[in-house]
Amino acid sequence: MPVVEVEGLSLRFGGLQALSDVSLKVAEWEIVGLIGPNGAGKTTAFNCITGFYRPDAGRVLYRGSEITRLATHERVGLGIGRTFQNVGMVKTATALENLKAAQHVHAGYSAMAGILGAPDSLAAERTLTDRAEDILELLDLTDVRHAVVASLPYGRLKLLELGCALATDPDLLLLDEPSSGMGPEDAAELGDRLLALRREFGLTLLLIEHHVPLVAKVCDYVYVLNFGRLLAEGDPEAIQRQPEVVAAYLGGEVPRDLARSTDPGGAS
Amino acid sequence: MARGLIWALLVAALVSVGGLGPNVARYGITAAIYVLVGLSLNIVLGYTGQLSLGHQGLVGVGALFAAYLSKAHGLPFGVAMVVGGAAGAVLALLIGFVGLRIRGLYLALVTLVIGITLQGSLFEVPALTGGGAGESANRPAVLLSNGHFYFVCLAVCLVALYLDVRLTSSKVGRALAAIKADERVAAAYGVNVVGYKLLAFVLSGALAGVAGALFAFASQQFNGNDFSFGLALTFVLMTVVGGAGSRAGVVVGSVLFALLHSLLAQLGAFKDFARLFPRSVTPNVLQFGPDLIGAFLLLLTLALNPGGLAQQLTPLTRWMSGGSVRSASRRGIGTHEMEVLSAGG
Repeated sequence: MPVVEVEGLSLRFGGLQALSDVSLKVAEWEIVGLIGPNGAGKTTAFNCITGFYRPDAGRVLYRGSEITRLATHERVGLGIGRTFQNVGMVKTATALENLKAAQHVHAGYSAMAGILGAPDSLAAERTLTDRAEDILELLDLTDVRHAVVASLPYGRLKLLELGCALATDPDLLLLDEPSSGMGPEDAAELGDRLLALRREFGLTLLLIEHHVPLVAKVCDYVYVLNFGRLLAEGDPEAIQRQPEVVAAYLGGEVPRDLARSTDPGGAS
Repeated sequence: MARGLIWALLVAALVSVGGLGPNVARYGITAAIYVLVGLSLNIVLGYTGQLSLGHQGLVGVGALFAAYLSKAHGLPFGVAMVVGGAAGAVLALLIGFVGLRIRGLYLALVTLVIGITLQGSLFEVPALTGGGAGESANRPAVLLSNGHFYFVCLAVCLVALYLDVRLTSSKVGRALAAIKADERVAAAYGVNVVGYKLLAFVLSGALAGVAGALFAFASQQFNGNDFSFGLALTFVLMTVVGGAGSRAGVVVGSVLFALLHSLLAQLGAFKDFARLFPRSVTPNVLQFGPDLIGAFLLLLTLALNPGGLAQQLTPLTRWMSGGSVRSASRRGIGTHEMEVLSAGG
């Protein structure tokens, strides 16, 4: 049974058909890439899977049960974590506070117990702090523990945001352009990190990514979106050879010579 | 050592207010009630980032129900306080349901209308409020002296401060901070945004309602005219000038505005200042002086000091709570309030 399965997703914003009849699935332990030019509907698809948008048509299934109408926080409770394209964290709070905030679902005490300062809530707080520290250590971020998020450089922000997504304790993690703002070396390191995370936490990953070498390195399967439609799917090697994919990225018709001459290495 | 001494002096000062005669205690009572309202508004405005211009309505409802039930049904003082808190919480829940759908200036507008409407309707019902003379709210014999009543107010403040500390250092405080920063982020962190916004309103309403009950018993009567829109503005001013989001700042701001309103008119220097104006204007200057000063402080805060008094107090409060004076400021408080107030969030 796939971890997440999207069937016939359609969503319209006014005059813009953001998604039309998009179907995809991600199996347990898979790392699946979602690629396509800007405005192709990738983030919109993420927003439907995580509950920020309700699709006009279509269903979202998580481990076989329908979650199309569940609220975002309920999906987080089921084990769906995500990051944002432009980094989503509480910018005025510290790294540690964000990592604790992201464990909200697993805090282990009620809101009332927290406000009254019940003993079990105080004990649970220490557990949350320990877990936040573990994540900081895992991502080599211990030095920014007490730094205000707004003061961090972009690369570390993206990494910390990944940490916050991990802190929600997901089974399925959706990463929206995790390598944006990173150079080739950092992106390669990120690839190793994602593979390691899958190994250690048994994560299933769906990622929106533009950095082709990273996609080629980590993804088991790739879906290509263009103008809200599924353009192609397949393993990364095969996808890079498809002329319509190349054309979608470069725009216009498929140039005949390019279609013929495109090889896996040349597409990057 | 020095830290302990300062704390001891602070405690001594707070206690001695209750023993320096009924007039001083009376100022202490007002200050304590304002602090409660400040903490209440801070939960909604400072922690959750929602502007309420109708907090006088919440305070008024608490005062109304506490006064009415203690007079008409002989409810004991303690129970009347709880009822006041419950009344504030219920009204806040209703406002909260509205607040879920709108934000920024529109929410401010709705809360403003609710507050003003309450003053003109519920607070004027003769059966509840005893007509124009106001419903009396008699204190029990043991609390008749202002000094004794002050200690009750102080105790309620301390309980509220404790709950506020627990709130900010638990998952509730982090959830509200996430909602204030970005509701999408809060949801991605697993926070039930709707539920926690409602919780913030209800907690704020309960605190405001208790403050209202104390207000009624302090003046020993409920009078609907006490809860005008001007009072709501004062509440917002004291919270923002004090530093929305900062507990210490809001406490200092609330005390400042409470005393500004009750003390300024009696200050000799201020009376002399008012006499500088033409004779026909003098009474107006005396009456609106505190409001003008409040507005001026707000302008200063928004333009030069967005974190409020808390921004200046940070080294002191940090040191008082056991930290080092030199460690850098951790939170960028206040900027969000500025956005809400200036651009409509």
